[in-house]
Amino acid sequence: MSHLDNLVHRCQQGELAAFSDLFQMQETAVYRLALTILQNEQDAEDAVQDVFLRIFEQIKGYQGQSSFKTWLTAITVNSCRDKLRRRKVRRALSLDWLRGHASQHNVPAEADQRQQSQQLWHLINTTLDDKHRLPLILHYHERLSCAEVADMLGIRISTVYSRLNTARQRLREQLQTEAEPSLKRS
Amino acid sequence: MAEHKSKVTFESNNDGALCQFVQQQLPDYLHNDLTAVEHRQIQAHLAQCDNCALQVQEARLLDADLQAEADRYQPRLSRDASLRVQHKVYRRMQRSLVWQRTGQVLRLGTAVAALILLLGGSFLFGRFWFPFLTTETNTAGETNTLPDLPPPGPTAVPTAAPSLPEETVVEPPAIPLEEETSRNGRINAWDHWVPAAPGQTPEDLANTIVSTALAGNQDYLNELFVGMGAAQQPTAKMWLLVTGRCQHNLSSDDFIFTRYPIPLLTVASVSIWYDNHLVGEIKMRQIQGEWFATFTRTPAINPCLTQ
Repeated sequence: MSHLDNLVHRCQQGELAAFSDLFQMQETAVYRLALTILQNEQDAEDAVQDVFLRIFEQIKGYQGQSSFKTWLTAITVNSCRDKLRRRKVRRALSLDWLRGHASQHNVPAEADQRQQSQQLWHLINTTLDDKHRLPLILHYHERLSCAEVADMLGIRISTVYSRLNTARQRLREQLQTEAEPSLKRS
Repeated sequence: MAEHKSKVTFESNNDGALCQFVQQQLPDYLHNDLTAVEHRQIQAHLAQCDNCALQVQEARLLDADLQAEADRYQPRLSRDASLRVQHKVYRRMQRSLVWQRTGQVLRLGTAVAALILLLGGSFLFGRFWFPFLTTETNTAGETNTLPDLPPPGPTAVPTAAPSLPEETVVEPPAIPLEEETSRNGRINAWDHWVPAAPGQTPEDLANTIVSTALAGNQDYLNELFVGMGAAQQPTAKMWLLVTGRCQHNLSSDDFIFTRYPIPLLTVASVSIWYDNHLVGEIKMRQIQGEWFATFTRTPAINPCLTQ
């Protein structure tokens, strides 16, 4: 039994100290995925909190059919999707959104700088909608196979293929569009 | 996934379909997530199709960039943020545990309250049907809890008429017939247990009772049931009424003796049937090794008493 399995088993027995160890072991992975999806540090923090509470509530039902990492990723993705849905509603109701300033309002300056330093992922976040962004994140960030992505998002594998293709095409087009002015200047 | 892959149409001669398939499989191809056969088939196609090869090359570059940036991207919660989140999580976990425990306590409390209501209700309204809820003081002065009696079922019919035990012969007291009624017109027989002769088994006691009843030996019945004093008189009177009015119509077949399959066999009864009606019942129980009996009746269907 690996250290993680042992930890999970102890959590299932209701040992609070084991939850503390599990939190410290997995918080970075959960935070990284949550921040990648949500693009907002405060929301990502909230997601980490939500994820570990869900783990606490559901870990007794975890039977080990999938690896713990996959189970944890699924919980994180679900939590983030809930937040994205709520954010959509909030934006729809927000005056800022009507004025077209919603993204600047929601992304802190620090996070924006970080995104600028990661041009490609910044492009992904600005170019793609959540429908196409999530499969890309899960496939490249979490290194999940297309089948696992399909399982996690509750869509068909052919849909995952088509969304990944669409996402790549849009990115390629966007990269070309951004490259053209600089070529013209040079 | 394997199921999907099995639908691969590499055998198709349609180049457009092949190209489309290759593009579809690109993510898995780039991550080496295909079977060896499928991988070889795609490689063979790429060797022949410049367009697909170019797309794969572009995808590889994009894929490598995405992967590299994803790998470089390692944000961490700051120590303060981590502690803050941990604190929030533990606070909510504790709250959740408190709710869980409160729920358990509430469920337990509800169960206890329901039990108390059941027992209280039974004590107030159903002492006759839940005799184990009543207590009595036996001859030794100790308080006993009476066992529940299961419904009677015929098992054996005692027919022998044993001789009257010497020990039970005592001066019969007078029976004040006016005292016969009790609450709801029912004699609360559970308050009036009568001891059998020392060493008598329930079968002996049943035989004695049956033979005495059939013989109409009222003196003995008085001794048997009134021996303990005034408290037993209503019971004895009812018994006398039944045996007195019905004795000429009763036979030994009308008496059914039953020992209940209860551990230690401390409960037994003789039920009295007349014209397919349950006229009455003598319940017997053992207290500290000696047997006691009491008489119960069902007045509404007692043909002898309604004569």
